[in-house]
Amino acid sequence: MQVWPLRFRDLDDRRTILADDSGDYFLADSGFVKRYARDLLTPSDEEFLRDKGHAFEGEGDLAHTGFLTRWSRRHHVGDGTAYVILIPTLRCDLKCSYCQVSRAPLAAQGFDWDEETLQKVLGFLDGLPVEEIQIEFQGGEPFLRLDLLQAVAAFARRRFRSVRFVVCSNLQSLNEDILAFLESGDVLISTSLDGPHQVHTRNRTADSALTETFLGNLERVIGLIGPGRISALPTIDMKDPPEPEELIATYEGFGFTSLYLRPVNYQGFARKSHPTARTSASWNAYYRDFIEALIARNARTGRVMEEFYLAHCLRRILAPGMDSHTDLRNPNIPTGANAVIDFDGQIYPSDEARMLARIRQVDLAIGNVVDGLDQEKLALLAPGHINNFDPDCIHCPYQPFCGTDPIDDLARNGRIDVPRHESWFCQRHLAIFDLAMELLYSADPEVEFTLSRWLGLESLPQSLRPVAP
Amino acid sequence: MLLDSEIANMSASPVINILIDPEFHPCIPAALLRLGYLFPELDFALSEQGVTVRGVSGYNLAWLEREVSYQVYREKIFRQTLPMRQSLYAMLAG
Repeated sequence: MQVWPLRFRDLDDRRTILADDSGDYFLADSGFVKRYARDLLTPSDEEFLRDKGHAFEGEGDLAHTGFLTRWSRRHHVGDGTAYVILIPTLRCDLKCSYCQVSRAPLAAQGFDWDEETLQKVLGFLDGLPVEEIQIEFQGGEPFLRLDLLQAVAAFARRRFRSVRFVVCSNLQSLNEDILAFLESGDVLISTSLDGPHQVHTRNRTADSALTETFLGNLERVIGLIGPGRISALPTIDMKDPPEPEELIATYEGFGFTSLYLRPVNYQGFARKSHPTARTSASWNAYYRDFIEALIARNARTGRVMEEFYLAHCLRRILAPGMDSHTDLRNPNIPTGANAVIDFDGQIYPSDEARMLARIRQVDLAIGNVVDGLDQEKLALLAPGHINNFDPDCIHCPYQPFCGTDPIDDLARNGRIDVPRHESWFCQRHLAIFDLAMELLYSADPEVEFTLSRWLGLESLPQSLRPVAP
Repeated sequence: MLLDSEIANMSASPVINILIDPEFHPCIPAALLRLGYLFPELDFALSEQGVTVRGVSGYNLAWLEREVSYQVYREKIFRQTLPMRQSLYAMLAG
Protein backbone atom coordinates (compact mmCIF):
# COMPACT_ATOMS: atom_id res chain seq x y z
CA MET A 1 0.00 0.00 0.00
CA GLN A 2 1.22 3.50 -0.82
CA VAL A 3 0.03 6.54 1.11
CA TRP A 4 -0.38 9.85 -0.70
CA PRO A 5 1.67 12.63 0.90
CA LEU A 6 0.00 13.89 4.07
CA ARG A 7 0.65 17.33 5.48
CA PHE A 8 -0.13 18.08 9.11
CA ARG A 9 -0.62 20.89 11.58
CA ASP A 10 -1.53 20.84 15.26
CA LEU A 11 -5.00 22.14 15.96
CA ASP A 12 -4.18 22.23 19.67
CA ASP A 13 -1.89 20.31 21.99
CA ARG A 14 -3.90 17.09 21.55
CA ARG A 15 -5.21 17.11 18.02
CA THR A 16 -3.58 17.30 14.62
CA ILE A 17 -5.18 17.99 11.24
CA LEU A 18 -3.81 16.00 8.32
CA ALA A 19 -4.70 16.44 4.67
CA ASP A 20 -3.56 15.06 1.35
CA ASP A 21 -2.95 17.04 -1.85
CA SER A 22 -6.54 16.56 -3.01
CA GLY A 23 -7.78 18.36 0.10
CA ASP A 24 -9.19 15.29 1.87
CA TYR A 25 -8.52 15.76 5.56
CA PHE A 26 -8.85 14.01 8.89
CA LEU A 27 -8.15 14.51 12.55
CA ALA A 28 -5.65 12.42 14.48
CA ASP A 29 -3.53 12.54 17.59
CA SER A 30 0.17 13.31 17.38
CA GLY A 31 0.93 9.61 17.80
CA PHE A 32 -0.45 9.06 14.33
CA VAL A 33 1.96 11.63 12.90
CA LYS A 34 4.87 9.87 14.56
CA ARG A 35 3.82 6.48 13.22
CA TYR A 36 3.26 7.88 9.74
CA ALA A 37 6.64 9.63 9.62
CA ARG A 38 8.43 6.53 10.89
CA ASP A 39 6.70 4.14 8.50
CA LEU A 40 5.17 2.38 11.50
CA LEU A 41 1.48 2.62 10.68
CA THR A 42 -0.66 0.01 12.38
CA PRO A 43 -3.10 -2.22 10.47
CA SER A 44 -6.00 -0.07 11.70
CA ASP A 45 -4.17 3.10 10.55
CA GLU A 46 -3.73 1.53 7.14
CA GLU A 47 -7.32 0.42 6.96
CA PHE A 48 -8.45 3.95 7.81
CA LEU A 49 -6.21 5.53 5.16
CA ARG A 50 -7.37 3.02 2.54
CA ASP A 51 -11.04 3.55 3.40
CA LYS A 52 -10.74 7.31 3.21
CA GLY A 53 -8.93 7.39 -0.13
CA HIS A 54 -5.52 8.47 1.17
CA ALA A 55 -3.81 5.34 -0.11
CA PHE A 56 -3.73 2.96 -3.07
CA GLU A 57 -2.23 -0.39 -3.99
CA GLY A 58 -1.08 0.28 -7.53
CA GLU A 59 -1.20 2.89 -10.27
CA GLY A 60 -4.46 2.75 -12.17
CA ASP A 61 -6.49 0.99 -9.50
CA LEU A 62 -9.77 2.51 -8.36
CA ALA A 63 -8.27 4.25 -5.33
CA HIS A 64 -5.48 5.75 -7.45
CA THR A 65 -7.89 6.94 -10.14
CA GLY A 66 -10.28 8.33 -7.54
CA PHE A 67 -7.49 10.35 -5.97
CA LEU A 68 -6.38 11.65 -9.39
CA THR A 69 -9.91 12.83 -10.06
CA ARG A 70 -10.19 14.66 -6.76
CA TRP A 71 -6.71 16.13 -7.08
CA SER A 72 -7.22 17.40 -10.62
CA ARG A 73 -10.60 18.91 -9.69
CA ARG A 74 -8.80 20.95 -7.04
CA HIS A 75 -6.63 22.41 -9.79
CA HIS A 76 -9.41 23.10 -12.25
CA VAL A 77 -10.23 26.70 -11.59
CA GLY A 78 -12.76 28.55 -13.65
CA ASP A 79 -15.82 27.09 -15.25
CA GLY A 80 -15.72 29.06 -18.47
CA THR A 81 -16.95 32.15 -16.67
CA ALA A 82 -15.08 35.45 -16.83
CA TYR A 83 -14.97 37.77 -13.83
CA VAL A 84 -14.10 41.26 -14.98
CA ILE A 85 -13.98 44.41 -12.87
CA LEU A 86 -14.59 47.67 -14.70
CA ILE A 87 -13.75 51.14 -13.37
CA PRO A 88 -15.72 53.57 -15.53
CA THR A 89 -14.80 56.41 -13.20
CA LEU A 90 -12.41 56.92 -10.33
CA ARG A 91 -14.42 59.87 -9.04
CA CYS A 92 -16.42 59.47 -5.86
CA ASP A 93 -18.79 61.56 -3.79
CA LEU A 94 -17.41 60.23 -0.51
CA LYS A 95 -13.93 60.43 0.97
CA CYS A 96 -13.53 57.38 3.23
CA SER A 97 -10.37 57.42 5.31
CA TYR A 98 -9.45 53.91 4.21
CA CYS A 99 -10.31 54.31 0.52
CA GLN A 100 -8.16 51.61 -0.98
CA VAL A 101 -8.03 53.08 -4.46
CA SER A 102 -7.24 56.69 -3.57
CA ARG A 103 -10.37 57.86 -5.33
CA ALA A 104 -10.55 61.15 -7.26
CA PRO A 105 -12.68 64.11 -6.13
CA LEU A 106 -16.17 64.48 -7.55
CA ALA A 107 -15.34 67.45 -9.77
CA ALA A 108 -11.98 66.16 -11.01
CA GLN A 109 -11.35 65.94 -14.75
CA GLY A 110 -9.77 63.05 -16.63
CA PHE A 111 -10.84 60.21 -14.32
CA ASP A 112 -13.68 58.77 -16.47
CA TRP A 113 -13.66 56.62 -19.58
CA ASP A 114 -14.04 58.66 -22.72
CA GLU A 115 -16.00 57.35 -25.71
CA GLU A 116 -12.90 55.80 -27.29
CA THR A 117 -11.99 53.93 -24.10
CA LEU A 118 -15.56 52.67 -23.77
CA GLN A 119 -15.44 51.24 -27.28
CA LYS A 120 -12.07 49.62 -26.60
CA VAL A 121 -13.43 48.09 -23.37
CA LEU A 122 -16.37 46.63 -25.26
CA GLY A 123 -13.95 45.27 -27.86
CA PHE A 124 -11.88 43.67 -25.09
CA LEU A 125 -14.96 42.04 -23.59
CA ASP A 126 -16.03 40.85 -27.02
CA GLY A 127 -12.71 39.06 -27.46
CA LEU A 128 -12.93 37.04 -24.24
CA PRO A 129 -13.20 33.32 -24.99
CA VAL A 130 -16.21 32.78 -22.74
CA GLU A 131 -19.97 32.72 -22.97
CA GLU A 132 -20.63 33.56 -19.32
CA ILE A 133 -19.45 36.65 -17.54
CA GLN A 134 -19.78 38.54 -14.30
CA ILE A 135 -19.02 42.21 -14.66
CA GLU A 136 -18.37 44.16 -11.51
CA PHE A 137 -18.50 47.93 -11.71
CA GLN A 138 -16.25 49.58 -9.19
CA GLY A 139 -14.85 53.02 -8.81
CA GLY A 140 -14.94 55.63 -7.54
CA GLU A 141 -18.68 55.61 -7.50
CA PRO A 142 -19.88 53.81 -10.65
CA PHE A 143 -23.35 55.38 -10.63
CA LEU A 144 -21.76 58.75 -11.35
CA ARG A 145 -21.48 57.41 -14.90
CA LEU A 146 -24.69 55.45 -15.28
CA ASP A 147 -24.50 56.08 -19.03
CA LEU A 148 -21.33 53.96 -19.23
CA LEU A 149 -22.87 51.19 -17.14
CA GLN A 150 -25.90 51.17 -19.43
CA ALA A 151 -23.69 50.95 -22.52
CA VAL A 152 -21.68 48.02 -21.10
CA ALA A 153 -24.83 46.23 -19.93
CA ALA A 154 -26.57 46.58 -23.29
CA PHE A 155 -23.51 45.22 -25.09
CA ALA A 156 -22.90 42.35 -22.65
CA ARG A 157 -26.51 41.18 -22.73
CA ARG A 158 -26.19 40.81 -26.51
CA ARG A 159 -22.73 39.26 -26.51
CA PHE A 160 -22.84 36.69 -23.69
CA ARG A 161 -25.16 33.78 -23.08
CA SER A 162 -25.22 34.45 -19.36
CA VAL A 163 -24.32 37.72 -17.70
CA ARG A 164 -24.50 39.20 -14.25
CA PHE A 165 -23.63 42.72 -13.18
CA VAL A 166 -22.55 43.77 -9.70
CA VAL A 167 -22.48 47.48 -9.02
CA CYS A 168 -20.28 48.36 -6.06
CA SER A 169 -21.96 51.54 -4.95
CA ASN A 170 -21.98 53.69 -1.84
CA LEU A 171 -25.72 54.27 -2.55
CA GLN A 172 -25.26 57.87 -1.53
CA SER A 173 -27.23 59.24 -4.48
CA LEU A 174 -30.17 57.62 -6.26
CA ASN A 175 -32.36 58.85 -9.06
CA GLU A 176 -35.09 57.38 -11.22
CA ASP A 177 -32.65 56.30 -13.95
CA ILE A 178 -30.51 54.39 -11.45
CA LEU A 179 -33.58 52.72 -9.98
CA ALA A 180 -34.71 51.72 -13.48
CA PHE A 181 -31.25 50.21 -14.13
CA LEU A 182 -31.57 48.20 -10.91
CA GLU A 183 -34.89 46.71 -11.91
CA SER A 184 -33.23 44.23 -14.27
CA GLY A 185 -32.87 40.87 -12.56
CA ASP A 186 -29.25 40.51 -13.70
CA VAL A 187 -28.11 43.56 -11.73
CA LEU A 188 -26.88 43.14 -8.16
CA ILE A 189 -25.72 45.74 -5.69
CA SER A 190 -22.74 45.48 -3.37
CA THR A 191 -22.50 48.23 -0.83
CA SER A 192 -20.74 49.11 2.39
CA LEU A 193 -22.53 49.19 5.71
CA ASP A 194 -19.97 49.57 8.44
CA GLY A 195 -22.37 49.10 11.34
CA PRO A 196 -24.71 51.24 13.38
CA HIS A 197 -25.29 54.87 12.33
CA GLN A 198 -22.44 56.36 14.33
CA VAL A 199 -19.89 53.78 13.11
CA HIS A 200 -20.85 54.27 9.46
CA THR A 201 -20.65 58.04 9.93
CA ARG A 202 -17.24 57.85 11.53
CA ASN A 203 -15.80 55.52 8.90
CA ARG A 204 -17.43 56.75 5.74
CA THR A 205 -19.58 59.83 5.52
CA ALA A 206 -18.26 62.06 8.32
CA ASP A 207 -21.73 63.58 8.30
CA SER A 208 -24.78 62.27 10.12
CA ALA A 209 -27.14 63.63 7.46
CA LEU A 210 -25.23 61.83 4.71
CA THR A 211 -25.48 58.60 6.69
CA GLU A 212 -29.23 59.15 7.00
CA THR A 213 -29.41 59.56 3.24
CA PHE A 214 -27.47 56.34 2.68
CA LEU A 215 -29.58 54.33 5.12
CA GLY A 216 -32.73 55.63 3.48
CA ASN A 217 -31.41 54.77 0.03
CA LEU A 218 -30.42 51.30 1.17
CA GLU A 219 -33.92 50.71 2.49
CA ARG A 220 -35.41 52.02 -0.74
CA VAL A 221 -33.27 49.75 -2.92
CA ILE A 222 -34.02 46.72 -0.75
CA GLY A 223 -37.70 47.56 -1.09
CA LEU A 224 -37.28 47.68 -4.85
CA ILE A 225 -35.19 44.59 -5.56
CA GLY A 226 -35.22 42.65 -2.26
CA PRO A 227 -32.31 41.76 0.03
CA GLY A 228 -31.38 38.76 -2.14
CA ARG A 229 -29.86 40.96 -4.83
CA ILE A 230 -27.94 43.19 -2.45
CA SER A 231 -24.86 42.29 -0.51
CA ALA A 232 -23.42 44.57 2.09
CA LEU A 233 -20.00 44.48 3.66
CA PRO A 234 -18.69 46.11 6.77
CA THR A 235 -15.10 47.30 6.66
CA ILE A 236 -13.71 46.96 10.15
CA ASP A 237 -11.45 49.66 11.50
CA MET A 238 -9.37 47.86 14.12
CA LYS A 239 -8.71 51.15 15.93
CA ASP A 240 -12.34 51.09 17.04
CA PRO A 241 -14.16 47.99 15.81
CA PRO A 242 -17.94 47.73 16.24
CA GLU A 243 -19.43 45.42 18.85
CA PRO A 244 -20.30 42.16 17.07
CA GLU A 245 -23.85 42.12 18.46
CA GLU A 246 -24.50 45.68 17.24
CA LEU A 247 -23.09 44.97 13.83
CA ILE A 248 -25.14 41.81 13.38
CA ALA A 249 -28.29 43.55 14.61
CA THR A 250 -27.74 46.33 12.08
CA TYR A 251 -27.57 43.81 9.26
CA GLU A 252 -30.56 41.88 10.52
CA GLY A 253 -32.50 45.13 10.67
CA PHE A 254 -32.19 45.42 6.91
CA GLY A 255 -33.18 41.80 6.34
CA PHE A 256 -29.69 40.62 5.40
CA THR A 257 -28.82 37.01 6.21
CA SER A 258 -25.16 37.27 5.26
CA LEU A 259 -22.38 39.71 5.91
CA TYR A 260 -18.77 39.70 4.88
CA LEU A 261 -16.44 40.98 7.53
CA ARG A 262 -13.56 42.76 5.85
CA PRO A 263 -10.44 44.25 7.33
CA VAL A 264 -9.20 47.60 6.11
CA ASN A 265 -7.30 46.85 2.93
CA TYR A 266 -3.69 47.99 3.29
CA GLN A 267 -3.83 49.95 0.06
CA GLY A 268 -4.44 53.48 -1.10
CA PHE A 269 -5.30 56.07 1.57
CA ALA A 270 -5.33 53.34 4.22
CA ARG A 271 -1.55 53.04 4.15
CA LYS A 272 -1.24 56.48 5.73
CA SER A 273 -4.34 56.78 7.87
CA HIS A 274 -4.67 53.14 9.02
CA PRO A 275 -1.16 51.78 9.65
CA THR A 276 -2.64 49.13 11.96
CA ALA A 277 -4.12 47.49 8.84
CA ARG A 278 -0.64 46.18 8.13
CA THR A 279 -0.65 43.62 10.93
CA SER A 280 -2.97 40.72 11.47
CA ALA A 281 -2.93 39.75 15.17
CA SER A 282 -5.69 42.11 16.30
CA TRP A 283 -7.77 41.30 13.22
CA ASN A 284 -7.59 37.56 13.80
CA ALA A 285 -8.59 37.98 17.45
CA TYR A 286 -11.54 40.22 16.54
CA TYR A 287 -12.63 37.86 13.79
CA ARG A 288 -12.66 34.87 16.12
CA ASP A 289 -14.62 36.78 18.77
CA PHE A 290 -17.07 37.91 16.13
CA ILE A 291 -17.69 34.37 14.90
CA GLU A 292 -18.21 33.13 18.46
CA ALA A 293 -20.75 35.92 19.05
CA LEU A 294 -22.45 35.16 15.74
CA ILE A 295 -22.78 31.46 16.53
CA ALA A 296 -24.16 32.15 20.00
CA ARG A 297 -26.62 34.68 18.61
CA ASN A 298 -27.82 32.33 15.86
CA ALA A 299 -28.49 29.63 18.45
CA ARG A 300 -30.23 32.07 20.75
CA THR A 301 -32.49 33.65 18.14
CA GLY A 302 -32.99 30.69 15.83
CA ARG A 303 -32.27 33.03 12.92
CA VAL A 304 -29.17 32.35 10.88
CA MET A 305 -26.73 35.05 9.91
CA GLU A 306 -23.81 33.92 7.74
CA GLU A 307 -20.31 35.34 7.79
CA PHE A 308 -19.58 34.96 4.11
CA TYR A 309 -15.84 34.44 4.18
CA LEU A 310 -15.74 31.75 6.86
CA ALA A 311 -18.66 29.98 5.19
CA HIS A 312 -16.83 30.23 1.89
CA CYS A 313 -13.64 28.80 3.40
CA LEU A 314 -15.66 25.95 4.89
CA ARG A 315 -17.16 25.18 1.50
CA ARG A 316 -13.68 25.22 -0.03
CA ILE A 317 -12.54 22.70 2.57
CA LEU A 318 -15.46 20.43 1.87
CA ALA A 319 -15.49 20.43 -1.92
CA PRO A 320 -13.48 21.46 -4.97
CA GLY A 321 -14.86 23.96 -7.46
CA MET A 322 -15.74 26.68 -4.96
CA ASP A 323 -13.88 29.26 -7.01
CA SER A 324 -16.37 32.06 -7.56
CA HIS A 325 -14.60 34.34 -5.08
CA THR A 326 -11.59 35.42 -7.09
CA ASP A 327 -9.54 36.52 -4.06
CA LEU A 328 -9.18 32.93 -2.88
CA ARG A 329 -8.42 30.48 -5.63
CA ASN A 330 -5.53 28.24 -6.53
CA PRO A 331 -4.14 28.41 -9.10
CA ASN A 332 -5.20 32.01 -9.63
CA ILE A 333 -3.22 32.75 -12.76
CA PRO A 334 -3.87 36.25 -14.17
CA THR A 335 -5.68 36.22 -17.51
CA GLY A 336 -7.88 38.58 -19.43
CA ALA A 337 -10.92 36.68 -18.18
CA ASN A 338 -10.08 37.62 -14.61
CA ALA A 339 -8.95 41.19 -14.93
CA VAL A 340 -9.59 44.77 -13.90
CA ILE A 341 -9.92 47.58 -16.45
CA ASP A 342 -9.15 50.93 -14.91
CA PHE A 343 -10.55 54.36 -15.71
CA ASP A 344 -7.66 55.00 -18.10
CA GLY A 345 -7.95 51.69 -19.98
CA GLN A 346 -5.05 50.01 -18.19
CA ILE A 347 -5.65 46.34 -17.41
CA TYR A 348 -4.58 44.85 -14.06
CA PRO A 349 -4.63 41.31 -12.70
CA SER A 350 -6.58 42.36 -9.61
CA ASP A 351 -8.14 45.33 -7.92
CA GLU A 352 -5.24 45.49 -5.49
CA ALA A 353 -2.77 45.62 -8.38
CA ARG A 354 -4.39 48.73 -9.77
CA MET A 355 -4.13 50.27 -6.30
CA LEU A 356 -0.39 49.67 -6.21
CA ALA A 357 -0.08 51.36 -9.59
CA ARG A 358 -2.23 54.24 -8.36
CA ILE A 359 0.15 54.98 -5.48
CA ARG A 360 3.09 54.46 -7.85
CA GLN A 361 4.60 51.59 -5.84
CA VAL A 362 4.83 49.22 -8.77
CA ASP A 363 3.22 49.04 -12.19
CA LEU A 364 1.56 45.64 -12.45
CA ALA A 365 -0.52 46.47 -15.52
CA ILE A 366 -0.88 43.43 -17.74
CA GLY A 367 -1.83 45.45 -20.77
CA ASN A 368 -4.32 48.07 -21.87
CA VAL A 369 -7.47 48.12 -23.93
CA VAL A 370 -5.67 49.65 -26.92
CA ASP A 371 -2.74 47.25 -27.26
CA GLY A 372 -4.27 44.21 -25.56
CA LEU A 373 -2.72 41.92 -22.99
CA ASP A 374 1.03 41.86 -22.37
CA GLN A 375 1.80 38.13 -22.53
CA GLU A 376 5.31 38.61 -21.19
CA LYS A 377 4.02 40.25 -18.04
CA LEU A 378 1.31 37.64 -17.61
CA ALA A 379 3.95 34.92 -17.76
CA LEU A 380 6.08 36.79 -15.25
CA LEU A 381 3.20 37.09 -12.77
CA ALA A 382 1.90 33.55 -13.15
CA PRO A 383 4.27 31.61 -10.83
CA GLY A 384 3.43 33.85 -7.87
CA HIS A 385 -0.24 32.98 -8.21
CA ILE A 386 0.02 29.29 -7.40
CA ASN A 387 0.77 27.97 -3.92
CA ASN A 388 1.56 24.32 -4.70
CA PHE A 389 5.31 24.75 -4.86
CA ASP A 390 5.85 27.30 -2.13
CA PRO A 391 8.37 25.88 0.36
CA ASP A 392 6.01 26.57 3.26
CA CYS A 393 2.65 25.81 1.61
CA ILE A 394 3.97 22.43 0.47
CA HIS A 395 3.92 21.37 4.14
CA CYS A 396 0.58 22.97 5.01
CA PRO A 397 -2.60 20.86 5.21
CA TYR A 398 -4.66 23.89 4.15
CA GLN A 399 -2.81 24.40 0.83
CA PRO A 400 -5.52 22.76 -1.34
CA PHE A 401 -8.21 25.09 0.05
CA CYS A 402 -6.09 28.18 0.28
CA GLY A 403 -4.62 30.58 -2.26
CA THR A 404 -1.91 33.15 -2.51
CA ASP A 405 -1.79 36.91 -2.80
CA PRO A 406 1.51 38.16 -4.19
CA ILE A 407 0.00 41.60 -4.76
CA ASP A 408 -0.74 41.98 -1.06
CA ASP A 409 2.74 40.68 -0.25
CA LEU A 410 4.17 43.39 -2.50
CA ALA A 411 2.00 46.05 -0.89
CA ARG A 412 3.05 45.15 2.64
CA ASN A 413 6.56 43.81 2.24
CA GLY A 414 7.77 45.15 -1.07
CA ARG A 415 8.47 41.60 -2.27
CA ILE A 416 6.61 38.36 -2.89
CA ASP A 417 9.05 35.87 -1.41
CA VAL A 418 8.69 36.51 2.31
CA PRO A 419 8.28 33.28 4.29
CA ARG A 420 4.57 32.52 4.30
CA HIS A 421 4.15 32.80 8.05
CA GLU A 422 5.31 36.42 7.82
CA SER A 423 2.76 37.30 5.17
CA TRP A 424 -0.56 38.83 6.16
CA PHE A 425 -2.38 36.55 3.74
CA CYS A 426 -0.97 33.42 5.37
CA GLN A 427 -1.50 34.65 8.92
CA ARG A 428 -5.10 35.51 8.15
CA HIS A 429 -5.87 32.26 6.36
CA LEU A 430 -4.12 30.00 8.83
CA ALA A 431 -6.31 31.59 11.50
CA ILE A 432 -9.47 31.16 9.41
CA PHE A 433 -8.78 27.56 8.43
CA ASP A 434 -7.78 26.67 12.00
CA LEU A 435 -11.06 28.15 13.16
CA ALA A 436 -13.01 26.37 10.40
CA MET A 437 -11.50 23.03 11.41
CA GLU A 438 -12.14 23.64 15.10
CA LEU A 439 -15.78 24.40 14.31
CA LEU A 440 -16.13 21.46 11.96
CA TYR A 441 -14.93 19.10 14.68
CA SER A 442 -16.80 20.83 17.48
CA ALA A 443 -19.36 18.85 19.46
CA ASP A 444 -21.14 22.02 20.54
CA PRO A 445 -24.75 21.96 19.28
CA GLU A 446 -24.69 25.75 18.84
CA VAL A 447 -21.80 25.42 16.43
CA GLU A 448 -23.48 22.57 14.60
CA PHE A 449 -26.68 24.64 14.25
CA THR A 450 -24.86 27.47 12.47
CA LEU A 451 -22.52 25.36 10.35
CA SER A 452 -25.20 23.01 9.10
CA ARG A 453 -27.44 25.97 8.10
CA TRP A 454 -24.54 27.66 6.31
CA LEU A 455 -23.89 24.46 4.40
CA GLY A 456 -27.56 23.81 3.65
CA LEU A 457 -27.67 20.60 5.70
CA GLU A 458 -30.02 19.35 8.39
CA SER A 459 -27.05 18.34 10.50
CA LEU A 460 -23.34 17.76 10.04
CA PRO A 461 -22.72 14.13 9.06
CA GLN A 462 -19.79 12.33 10.66
CA SER A 463 -18.38 11.75 7.18
CA LEU A 464 -17.41 15.42 7.16
CA ARG A 465 -15.44 14.90 10.36
CA PRO A 466 -13.23 11.87 9.82
CA VAL A 467 -11.01 10.88 12.75
CA ALA A 468 -8.13 8.43 12.52
CA PRO A 469 -8.25 5.56 15.02
CA MET B 1 2.53 31.00 20.29
CA LEU B 2 2.64 29.09 23.58
CA LEU B 3 -0.48 27.61 25.10
CA ASP B 4 -1.48 28.63 28.64
CA SER B 5 -1.17 25.07 29.80
CA GLU B 6 2.38 24.98 28.56
CA ILE B 7 3.66 28.11 30.20
CA ALA B 8 4.06 26.27 33.51
CA ASN B 9 6.40 23.93 31.73
CA MET B 10 8.85 26.62 30.65
CA SER B 11 12.53 26.26 31.24
CA ALA B 12 15.22 28.90 31.65
CA SER B 13 17.85 26.62 30.10
CA PRO B 14 19.28 28.36 27.03
CA VAL B 15 20.32 25.15 25.22
CA ILE B 16 18.56 21.89 24.49
CA ASN B 17 19.58 18.80 22.60
CA ILE B 18 16.84 17.03 20.71
CA LEU B 19 17.41 13.40 19.88
CA ILE B 20 16.42 12.43 16.38
CA ASP B 21 16.37 8.83 15.17
CA PRO B 22 19.30 8.07 12.84
CA GLU B 23 16.95 7.20 9.98
CA PHE B 24 15.91 10.89 9.89
CA HIS B 25 19.43 12.36 10.00
CA PRO B 26 19.74 12.89 6.22
CA CYS B 27 16.66 15.16 6.47
CA ILE B 28 17.95 17.34 9.29
CA PRO B 29 19.92 19.93 7.26
CA ALA B 30 16.89 20.81 5.13
CA ALA B 31 14.68 20.91 8.23
CA LEU B 32 17.14 23.25 9.96
CA LEU B 33 17.06 25.60 6.98
CA ARG B 34 13.33 26.00 7.43
CA LEU B 35 13.45 26.14 11.23
CA GLY B 36 16.03 28.92 10.91
CA TYR B 37 13.53 31.29 9.31
CA LEU B 38 10.49 30.05 11.21
CA PHE B 39 12.28 30.80 14.49
CA PRO B 40 14.96 33.39 13.64
CA GLU B 41 15.54 34.12 17.35
CA LEU B 42 16.76 30.57 17.92
CA ASP B 43 20.03 29.03 16.82
CA PHE B 44 19.71 25.51 15.39
CA ALA B 45 22.67 23.23 14.75
CA LEU B 46 23.17 19.67 13.64
CA SER B 47 24.58 17.46 16.38
CA GLU B 48 25.69 13.84 16.41
CA GLN B 49 22.44 12.70 17.94
CA GLY B 50 20.06 15.17 16.36
CA VAL B 51 19.57 18.90 16.77
CA THR B 52 20.94 21.42 19.26
CA VAL B 53 18.89 24.54 19.86
CA ARG B 54 20.34 27.63 21.56
CA GLY B 55 18.48 30.61 22.99
CA VAL B 56 15.46 28.64 24.18
CA SER B 57 14.80 30.65 27.36
CA GLY B 58 11.10 31.31 27.67
CA TYR B 59 10.15 28.53 25.30
CA ASN B 60 8.07 25.55 26.23
CA LEU B 61 10.60 22.83 25.64
CA ALA B 62 8.15 20.02 24.98
CA TRP B 63 6.43 22.15 22.37
CA LEU B 64 9.71 23.19 20.79
CA GLU B 65 10.93 19.62 20.64
CA ARG B 66 7.75 18.64 18.87
CA GLU B 67 8.12 21.50 16.38
CA VAL B 68 11.66 20.43 15.56
CA SER B 69 10.61 16.80 15.19
CA TYR B 70 7.70 17.85 12.99
CA GLN B 71 9.99 19.78 10.64
CA VAL B 72 12.23 16.77 10.32
CA TYR B 73 9.23 14.52 9.70
CA ARG B 74 7.89 16.93 7.10
CA GLU B 75 11.19 16.95 5.27
CA LYS B 76 11.36 13.18 5.27
CA ILE B 77 7.78 12.83 4.02
CA PHE B 78 8.43 15.44 1.35
CA ARG B 79 11.48 13.58 0.06
CA GLN B 80 9.90 10.20 0.28
CA THR B 81 6.75 11.21 -1.59
CA LEU B 82 8.32 13.53 -4.16
CA PRO B 83 8.18 10.90 -6.94
CA MET B 84 4.44 10.50 -6.33
CA ARG B 85 3.91 14.23 -6.71
CA GLN B 86 6.11 14.32 -9.80
CA SER B 87 4.06 11.56 -11.39
CA LEU B 88 0.84 13.45 -10.62
CA TYR B 89 2.06 16.56 -12.40
CA ALA B 90 3.41 14.48 -15.27
CA MET B 91 -0.04 12.95 -15.69
CA LEU B 92 -1.71 16.36 -15.47
CA ALA B 93 0.60 17.77 -18.12
CA GLY B 94 -0.04 14.78 -20.35
